[in-house]
Amino acid sequence: MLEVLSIKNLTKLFPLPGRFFRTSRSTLRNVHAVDDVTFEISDNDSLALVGESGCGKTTTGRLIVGLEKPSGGRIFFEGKEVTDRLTDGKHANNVDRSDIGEIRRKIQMIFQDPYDSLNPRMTIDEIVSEPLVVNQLGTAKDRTVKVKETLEAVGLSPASAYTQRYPHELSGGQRQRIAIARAVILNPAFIVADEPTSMLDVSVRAGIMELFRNLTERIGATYLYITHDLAVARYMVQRIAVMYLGKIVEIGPTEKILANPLHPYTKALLQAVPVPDPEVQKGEPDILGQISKPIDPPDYCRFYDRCPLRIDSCAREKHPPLRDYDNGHCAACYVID
Amino acid sequence: MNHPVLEVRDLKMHYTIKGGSVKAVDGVTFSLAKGEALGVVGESGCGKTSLAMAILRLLTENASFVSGSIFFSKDGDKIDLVRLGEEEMRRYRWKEISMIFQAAMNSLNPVYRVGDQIAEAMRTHFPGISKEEISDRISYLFRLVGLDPARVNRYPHEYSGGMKQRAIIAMALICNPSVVIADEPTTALDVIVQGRILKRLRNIQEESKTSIIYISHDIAAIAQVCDRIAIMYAGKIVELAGTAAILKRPAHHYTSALMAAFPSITGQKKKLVAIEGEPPDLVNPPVGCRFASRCGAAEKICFESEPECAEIGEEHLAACHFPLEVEIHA
Repeated sequence: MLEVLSIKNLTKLFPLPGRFFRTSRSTLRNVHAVDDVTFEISDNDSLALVGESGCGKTTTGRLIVGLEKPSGGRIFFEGKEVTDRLTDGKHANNVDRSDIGEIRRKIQMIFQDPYDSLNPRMTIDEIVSEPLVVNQLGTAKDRTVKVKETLEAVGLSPASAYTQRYPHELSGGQRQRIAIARAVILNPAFIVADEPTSMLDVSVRAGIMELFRNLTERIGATYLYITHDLAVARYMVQRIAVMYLGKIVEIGPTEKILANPLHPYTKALLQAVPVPDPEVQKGEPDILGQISKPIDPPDYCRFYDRCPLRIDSCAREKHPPLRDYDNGHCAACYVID
Repeated sequence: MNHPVLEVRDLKMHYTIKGGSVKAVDGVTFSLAKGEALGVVGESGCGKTSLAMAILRLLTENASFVSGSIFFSKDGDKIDLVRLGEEEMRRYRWKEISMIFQAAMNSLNPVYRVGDQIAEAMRTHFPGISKEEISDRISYLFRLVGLDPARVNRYPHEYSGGMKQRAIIAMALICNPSVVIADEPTTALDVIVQGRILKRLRNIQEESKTSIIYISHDIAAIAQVCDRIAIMYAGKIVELAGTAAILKRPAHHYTSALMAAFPSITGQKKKLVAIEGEPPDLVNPPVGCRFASRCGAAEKICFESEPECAEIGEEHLAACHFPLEVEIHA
């Protein structure tokens, strides 16, 4: 398998606004949204990033497509380092920017809210063809053909019934199909999908999930699927990474994570997922307190405050590194050893 | 079943818009027993929130009751809320029937202390009540919902999302109402917090014999806390039965299609099946069954005549000409 994307020690700090008279850099506090995150994604081995609100999963996705500039760490795409080229573009110093357009074309994103992510003043045709226009690909005629093909590929046919309409005339499911069409029209190699189905109704969601899987398979794109829903991840990806307060606490093959979670946080998440089956009795998730804020967190394990398994030494050691327990099924915990 | 506290009969509540009326609640009938938890499940636009607002008589300017009744019973008295004047309705709203609103994080006023906001309802409904009584009641409720009573004098921004939701629940319970309507009470919350809050609500309902109507799009989440579930589609209840029966032996094709579209974390990884098409336009709803155009089992009669919501099994109602065979699964 070919490595498509890899990130190494990726970190993103957001400084909190300073108080009056105390704005010097040394006293500023930081939100550690993404803290030393490392993973690789190979060809056809898509990964889901799962976690609760505020765990840094969306920020990780935005760093990968270059919508945020990393505070530290490196991003590699198809073997080449792209860390600063993605964000700085033309203004970057000391970096090779000859193929920056090509790299950007190959990495696309789908956003969570189809009501927010489409420009209400643009027609569907303008929205879907914009990536082609921006990249100066093809003649006007070629573009028309490509838009038609793409709309039909995302299940909006006949395309002519949609091209001249505006986003507000479409349902949530149809809008998300437009967002997918816009992301795949350039035949990207990698797609970051940020909760593309969380705003949709159950009956529509299944169709969008199926479409996304089939379409990415057809164009040979690998993806990072960001979701808070482990059940959705189960249907979408080969591997799952569980994030907690900016750190990946467990990563591994989907079925292994679901059948045999190692980290106490993953266990609690799985216990909490409701199951529509009257015969399944759910126990109370084994977790203490509630999620804290990742503002200048202490060095020790991020999960310490909520961990049911914690021992005194956890508070003395640094945050545990990921350790491989079973052929690529890794967890970051001292106690489960 | 013991005496119902709430009986909704053939309720129709429509919104007048340019070019017609939206039949958001269009002939809904159900009853709610004392101490019972009933789930109302449906997708966006099916009329579930309108139903809740209709019961509380919190209607927008363009909404009106077309027909039907909402009977509320207490201590042997039975009154029809639809026919009450606004002043009389105020005596029942919150005191007898209260609500936990959707997006609770935004339903607290940011410039008042949480405790003061909760006390307001009590002062209105029990004029002359002493400060001590109010603060005792709030402390009691804070403990009941799992909040530290020391937090009553804090402002909403000092609460986390889950804590705000708990405060909102305390607010709904302040007058010890007979019925609480919980509209998507945990939708905006993370799964661990959601589980805890639903469990807490279930305990409160069982201990204080409060009746709760849960309104949700997430059948899996509320199945844990509901005795019975009503499935709503395009302004109507299409199926109503015990929670286990709805999940295991759905009779209506819409219910079974919903279950087939639901990704599950346990069991076989079944293929998910989306429901083709879209819900009907509620300004001009179709003549026959409202689900017919999306239903795999629809025949001629389904497009011509509307099915009655009939008993197809023990305490199992479904509005379908060709219900799935309930007894085969049983």
